[in-house]
Amino acid sequence: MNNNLIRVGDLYKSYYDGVTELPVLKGIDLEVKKAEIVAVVGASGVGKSTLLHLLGGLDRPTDGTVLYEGDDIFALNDQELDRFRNKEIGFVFQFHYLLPELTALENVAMPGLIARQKPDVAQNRARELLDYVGLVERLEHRPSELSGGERQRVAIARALVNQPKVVLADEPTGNLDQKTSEAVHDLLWTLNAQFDQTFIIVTHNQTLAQRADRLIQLVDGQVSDQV
Amino acid sequence: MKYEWLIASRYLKSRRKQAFISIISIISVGGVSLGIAAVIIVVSTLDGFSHGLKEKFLANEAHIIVQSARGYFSDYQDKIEEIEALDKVVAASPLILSQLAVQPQGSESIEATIYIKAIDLEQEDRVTGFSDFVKNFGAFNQSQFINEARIRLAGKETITGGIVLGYHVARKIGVVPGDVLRLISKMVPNPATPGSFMPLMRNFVVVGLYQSGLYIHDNAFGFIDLQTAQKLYQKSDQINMIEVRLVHADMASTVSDRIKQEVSFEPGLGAIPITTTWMQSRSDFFQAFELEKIVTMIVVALIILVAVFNIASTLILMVMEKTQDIGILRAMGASKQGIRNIFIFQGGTIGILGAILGTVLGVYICWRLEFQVGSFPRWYGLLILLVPVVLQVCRRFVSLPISATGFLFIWCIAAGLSLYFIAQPIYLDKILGRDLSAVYQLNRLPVKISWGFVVLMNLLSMATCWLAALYPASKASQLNPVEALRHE
Repeated sequence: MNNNLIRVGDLYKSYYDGVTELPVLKGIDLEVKKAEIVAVVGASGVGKSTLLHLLGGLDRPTDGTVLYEGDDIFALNDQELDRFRNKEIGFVFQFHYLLPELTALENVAMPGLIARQKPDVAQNRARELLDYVGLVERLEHRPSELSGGERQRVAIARALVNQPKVVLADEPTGNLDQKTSEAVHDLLWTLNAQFDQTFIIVTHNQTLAQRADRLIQLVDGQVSDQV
Repeated sequence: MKYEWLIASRYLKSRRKQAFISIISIISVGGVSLGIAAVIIVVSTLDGFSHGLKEKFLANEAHIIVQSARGYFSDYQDKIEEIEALDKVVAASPLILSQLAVQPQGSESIEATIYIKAIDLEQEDRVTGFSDFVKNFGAFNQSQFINEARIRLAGKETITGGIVLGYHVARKIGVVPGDVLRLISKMVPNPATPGSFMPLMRNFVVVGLYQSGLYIHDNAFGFIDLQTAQKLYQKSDQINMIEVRLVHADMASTVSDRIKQEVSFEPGLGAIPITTTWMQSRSDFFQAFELEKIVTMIVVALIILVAVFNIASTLILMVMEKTQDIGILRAMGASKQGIRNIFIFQGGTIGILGAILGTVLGVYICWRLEFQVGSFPRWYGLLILLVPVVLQVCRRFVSLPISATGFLFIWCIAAGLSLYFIAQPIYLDKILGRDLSAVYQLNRLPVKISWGFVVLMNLLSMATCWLAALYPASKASQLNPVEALRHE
């Protein structure tokens, strides 16, 4: 218990299209330890992304709790939840979602700026991370001037800039070729090894899933198997 | 820099994929500037026009006219002294105002009837500054012109005195200084044929032309000496009006009330003086002006409104374009307020830039109009180059939604305009193709920029831009982040 970073208890999420209720998550229970790399797998539409959004406080559940070190994040009001996302969560998506008008450096510094850090503080931290992910030459480039792998590395650096408790990745290499994907995977593992960074990764990628510390299989809105 | 500013300014400047959005923001700024410039120019010229007219009216018109209910009255010097003793009164002067028919010598018909003001030159000068508007004029009844006329007529006809004619009156009836006019004051029984009447005529020599620049004056009045008039009208030691000049024209109603209280004519009915202030005699005029100003302002303000709608649609478009950005920003922890700020800052920036540019443009054109002919050195046209220079300087400090090409464009327009102005100053007479003084009562179009109004317009348009941004901004902040991220 004391080693658990995240505890999800009996989590339900349904979507309403006005009349009918569409249940997506039907009572999820799971735990994630600190410095773990967890892969979430399952068929399309099974609710993997929804689970990830709830874990990151981007959406609120229909029922159930998500505890971070014992505190329920959905007890927070909207502003507190914004702040929680900003400080404790890093998101990486299948698409990089970098702001096209901003340079790589500015994109990575953005979570720091949102946290109201001084611009030079945020930028120094962003520079460190971009250096770490091997993009020190690309600081002033805009997303359109970067390759797919580079964009995703920038997105990973952005997710890490506020030293979050956990990085939630939704098919981070879903759009990349195999070689680039493996480079990105290596980066995730290095970050895990070096900073004890916790990762929860939704993926269809078998190699990635096999490489994870733990595998969580979702079937029909429930956890069917944990390896 | 706050992240909201960083993103807002980049959106405004965006020139890659959504280059058209930055063009739209330039158009939005242009729309607001044009609106503001138009309002400033219109209101300033209308204000200047009415102000100029007021000054002209007041320069050669009394602030208050005092009359008796009984028409002519005597002992007027006592009344004048009483009025001059009142506070805020600068001077008062006697006047006989009457309308006479005019027949130039050598003409067989009566050419015009004009208002004849019979004045005491010295006293009149203190009230209406009469002599300032007549060139080379000494006195009514002592003039080289009169002497010459006497010699010319050689005793055939007698000369009663001199007359100063309004410039346009003289042009209308075709006389120049030195010509003799017959003034027909009234009809008297004809001793030759009992039962019939003949006109009482007196000869006057034109000794000067009165040119105030105010057409309705210059086209209506003639001036003769008071004592000569009293003899002519057989009203010895009587007048029918007293003109009063005040320290300040705006005090006219207060002082006119005091005149009614403290000055009285012969006891009995009609003892209280009748007073007319300049505001009363010109009220229709200035009210019409005010009305025109308000209506024009409303029409022109619609331009600003259109510009504001333009901003709203630009921002709505922008929110749709940037839905994914909004989603990722929310995922990174940006608050709803933060998202709202991004779009409000954009609207605000467009509003402020538009207001500044519009003010510069409007005020510049106002200055051009005011100092049109001669007094305005042509090289002042170079001042228009200040617009891009100021913009360039501003760009060092704040992010402007203008690309390098945009700047080139602005430089070209500014250079072109200033060259044009250097080569070709604005001559209103040329543009309108006719003599302005006849149409507009004034020789040039005066412009009066009311800075309070300019500031008010600026604040108003910035506020409306802000309001226009409010709806798209709150729409953006209400977006569900999960759906926003899925948005294609």
